[in-house]
Amino acid sequence: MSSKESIKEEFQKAREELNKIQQGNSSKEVIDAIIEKIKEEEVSDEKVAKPVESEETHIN
Amino acid sequence: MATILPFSEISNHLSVKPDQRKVLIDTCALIAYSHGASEFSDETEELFIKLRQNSFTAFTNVNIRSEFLDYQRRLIVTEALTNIASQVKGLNSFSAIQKRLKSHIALVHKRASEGKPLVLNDSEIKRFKKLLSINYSGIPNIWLKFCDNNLKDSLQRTFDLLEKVMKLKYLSVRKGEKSPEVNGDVSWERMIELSETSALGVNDSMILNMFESTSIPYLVTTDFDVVYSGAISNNTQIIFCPNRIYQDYKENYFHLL
Repeated sequence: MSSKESIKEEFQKAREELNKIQQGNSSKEVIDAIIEKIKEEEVSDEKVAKPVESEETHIN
Repeated sequence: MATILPFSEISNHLSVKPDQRKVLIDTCALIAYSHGASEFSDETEELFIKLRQNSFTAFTNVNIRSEFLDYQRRLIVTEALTNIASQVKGLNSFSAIQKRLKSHIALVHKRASEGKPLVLNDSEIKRFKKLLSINYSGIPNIWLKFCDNNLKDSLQRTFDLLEKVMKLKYLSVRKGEKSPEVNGDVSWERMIELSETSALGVNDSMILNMFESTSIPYLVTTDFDVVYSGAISNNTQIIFCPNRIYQDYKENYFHLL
């Protein structure tokens, strides 16, 4: 393989690696905890309907 | 004023003298190459390959690196949240987390249909940070665990990859460590002047000010604002930009600048 071709391949490989990192990698533990939390809130919402906090309070 | 040229014109500059084969790479060009969903991704990659194949030295500085890393931080968080959102979309709940994730994924789809990938800003990230900063299911703080999973070592790795593939060299203006390419004054006053003249972002003004203060003949950018401000600046160097940005500049702004 010529040097020019190997440089091209190097760039393409680096971009693939960058894209892989950019996808993130949340653990099953974190995803499961979020799912459980969502499900738990579903149950409590059935018991007591609560207004959702306004978005403004989440900013800053 | 700087000379603005499209990426396609690079072939006319690849045979310049070896001591002229130097190029400053703007943050957005690094982002365009690294982010496959970017409009200019392939075009920028092609240019970078040509520059390296022809032994050009690519320069960066700490501002460019920090801006690039900040974009990567927001991009990784966005993608990781999209991934979680797609895994919980079947759940029906009044949960604030679920509502936020649903609205996130709707925005991802909207942007994708417009050809503009979503990258959350800090206000939006802060909303998720507050919602997920909870002690739950044996995890003391879900948000911190999420960051540990997705960001730890990743940010550094993104720049390490770029440094390696592009053989990036750092420009320094520090006393005693000043790069030989820096032959002018990189000054706070000039940076502010650049920003004030055409409302160029402060980070971009720093980069343009750095470029003006060096003997580096070329700047590569994918940012229209940098092209616009470069066109009215004092320097006589060359700025390369994607072909579409060049056409826009030439047809609509060249006669006004």
